[in-house]
Amino acid sequence: MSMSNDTFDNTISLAEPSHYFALMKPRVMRLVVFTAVAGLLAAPGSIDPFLAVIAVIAIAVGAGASGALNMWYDADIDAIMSRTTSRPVPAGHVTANQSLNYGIVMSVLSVLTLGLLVNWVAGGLLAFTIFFYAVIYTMWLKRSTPQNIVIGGAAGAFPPMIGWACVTGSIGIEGIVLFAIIFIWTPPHFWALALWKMRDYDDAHVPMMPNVAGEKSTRNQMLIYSIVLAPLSAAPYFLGFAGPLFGILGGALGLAFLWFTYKVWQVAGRDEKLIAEKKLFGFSIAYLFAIFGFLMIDAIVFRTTESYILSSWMVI
Amino acid sequence: MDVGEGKIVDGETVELNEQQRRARRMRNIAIGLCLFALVAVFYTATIVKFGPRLMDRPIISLDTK
Repeated sequence: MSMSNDTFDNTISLAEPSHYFALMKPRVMRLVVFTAVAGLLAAPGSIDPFLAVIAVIAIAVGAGASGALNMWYDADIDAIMSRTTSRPVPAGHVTANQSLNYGIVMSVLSVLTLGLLVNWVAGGLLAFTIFFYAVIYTMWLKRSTPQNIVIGGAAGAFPPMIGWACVTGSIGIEGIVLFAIIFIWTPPHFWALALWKMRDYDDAHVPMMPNVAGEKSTRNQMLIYSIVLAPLSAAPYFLGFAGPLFGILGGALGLAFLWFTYKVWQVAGRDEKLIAEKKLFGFSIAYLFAIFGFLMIDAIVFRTTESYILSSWMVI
Repeated sequence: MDVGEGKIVDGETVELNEQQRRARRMRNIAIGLCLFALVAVFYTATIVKFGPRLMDRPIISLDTK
């Protein structure tokens, strides 16, 4: 490796704390924090606010740790793709080994903290998430199958489920629905990006769906996922852990997502600039923030007025 | 013996240049802060988990539960 220079000077690390922070993929962490908080708030029951804050930080650090492990293993391909060349390892700020050690230490600390201070169902789920992202996704699937992000997306889908488990101490159908929303959302979200960054993935020999199965098949699959996502977006209302207003807004978001994907499917790449794909990618991020944002607002409104979900329970 | 910018002084030790010294200092401070935060979190969480029971200490308790 380029880092292992034989001069003493170059083996002395110039890494600063900000480089280590960048190893944790702060942008991904933002989404993790957001969805985990939504899961925490939407869950029935209560948790001490101090422990809730600790839980969210532990989940964020755990997710960050899996990011650092990912950057250790993927240093070779990160150096090839334009989107990732500025990451700390390919940029030469941190060595791959330092990234590995950092990822392991942070994984252990975050899982222990969540397990000891909150509960071990949540702690176990966090450990499984890190294992899933670092080993199943990064080491195994990413380079071997075009279904990589479909299965890898599960790792990103765990945080709201962990948030839910922090409060209830169990997983439950509600936690699974929150998981499913992100899980089904990931493929169309990521493939929209892959469709216009195709060449990059090709250069790095990462089998993304558009490079392997072709653009047409990718667009068909994106449409199918979006059709599933539309009703799923309103599912929290139908399962009784969100109010009717959430049902309407969630359903509308799901339909809007379907519309943007339909546009991608309809234009089918005839537009050189791939505007439909870029629009879908942009909207998909807004969608996820909006749906979990609504879920949070809904939960807060319910907690303060106690009228939202209660009425539907009384009917049953 | 001179190796690059860093000099080996007295045979065994390496003299850090300004940038290396600065980076190491910042890393040390960051690690220190993280460890302090971890201790503070576990201490506070322990108190929080005791809850109000911490203050509830009857001198003679007949109810063992």
